[in-house]
Parts: sequence; structure tokens; C-alpha cells
Amino acid sequence: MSASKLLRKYETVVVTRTNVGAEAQRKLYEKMTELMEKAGARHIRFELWGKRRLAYPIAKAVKGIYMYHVYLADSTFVKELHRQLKLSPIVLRYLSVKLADGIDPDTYDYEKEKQFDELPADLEEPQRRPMTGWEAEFQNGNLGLDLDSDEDEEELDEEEEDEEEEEE
Amino acid sequence: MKSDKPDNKKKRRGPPRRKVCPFCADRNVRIDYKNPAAIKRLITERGKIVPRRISGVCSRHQRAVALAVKRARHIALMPYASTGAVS
Repeated sequence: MSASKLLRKYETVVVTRTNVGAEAQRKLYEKMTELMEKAGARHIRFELWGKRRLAYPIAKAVKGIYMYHVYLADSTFVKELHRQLKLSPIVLRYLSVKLADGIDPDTYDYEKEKQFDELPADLEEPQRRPMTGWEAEFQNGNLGLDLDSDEDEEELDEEEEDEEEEEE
Repeated sequence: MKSDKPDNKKKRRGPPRRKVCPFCADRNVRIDYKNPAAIKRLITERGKIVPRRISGVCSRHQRAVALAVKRARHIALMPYASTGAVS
């Protein structure tokens, strides 16, 4: 018998804005993992699904970046996570689903899913995560993972250039 | 009740075909909101969930489909409603 409290296995999908740049995405990721550490949750798996067209516009955003986490935690953590996500200006939507109950974090086989548990070193060009059925469907379409090239961003860049020229 | 209308009878050839639930037939297909491709054909072009009297899905799997569609809608992987036109 182990002394650890039994935890639940959850998955959380977070949809964020596309026009905030890779740095903000990374910050959000780090904040989430930090929260998990603090709350004694165990992070199991992370996937970056990339930029995808939303089925309907949310807060004027047409595209969103999807992040996917799997972790062991208790219900109070999920509550706190949701509170934090609600406060974040770049988060459009989130969804948490309980996958399993009564898991002992000490005996859980992390290695089984651990191979996915790393944030790609370079968020500009993250690795694609193979998923059954998913890759096949979206390979040609919206799984473009080029997080920084967004229409809005391009416009901003142009404005900056203009300013620079004026200064000269 | 005796049927006096041979015309109607003539139209139906044999007993109605029994629909088989696609998820019972192929147990490898998982109903998952994260993979809308698998459940896409169970919604109409307008984004409505197809009733199981049409699709032939069994009640257990229909419940799973409904849940998956609703979850997928929340995170905008599937539309709540669409006009059918490509926007």
C-alpha cells in the first residue's frame, strides 16, 4: 500500500487565440504545468494539435490553437485550473474530461504515455503527434503548426516596418 | 388487419433491411470528441445529430455519439449549427 492519495485521470483541451505568438502559448503551457506541480498533480502527456479552423467563430477568432493535456489530479485542481484559464485573455475555450478514477500516482505506469510528454523544444516547428484517424483527416488541412504566421500578425509587422521607415 | 392494397405491397420487396450499428460492427472505431472525423457522418450538413432510426446506431453508441458531438461542439471542432454553405 502506498501513502499517496488516490487521484483521477483527466484530460484537458485548451483552445487559444492564434494572434498572440508562440511566446504567449509557451507561457500558458508553463503556467499550466506549474499549477499542476503546485497542486501535486502529475502531468502525463501533452500534445500540440496546432492551428485549426474553428467550426464557428469565437470572440471574433476564426482559428484557434489546440493544446491537449493528460494528467492525474483531484477535482479541486481542475476547479482551480478552470478558474485560471477563465482569467487568461488568450484562452478561447477549454474542456476537461475525467478519464479514470481512483488511480494511485505511485503505481501508475507513466512510461506508457510518457513518450508524448514533452513540449517541443522549438514551438515554431513542433513535432506532430500521431493520433488514430486524426492525422489522416487533418494532415492536408488545418494542422499547419506555423504558430506565428497569422494574418493579424502580418498586418502588425507591416505597421512596425512603416514606423521604422518614418523614423529614418 | 388484412391488407387489401396489393399496390403498396408490391413496392416493398422483401422484409426491411436490418441496419447494423457501425460501432458494434467495428469495435476498433472509438467514439471520441477529439476525432470528429469518425463521427462526422452521424451529423447532417446543418450540424444536427442524425437520429438513430435513420443511422441505425444502437442506443448505447448513440448516447456516446451524442456526448462526443456535444463535447466537440464546445471546443469548436464541430459546428453547433451551420447553414450548409461553405463560409
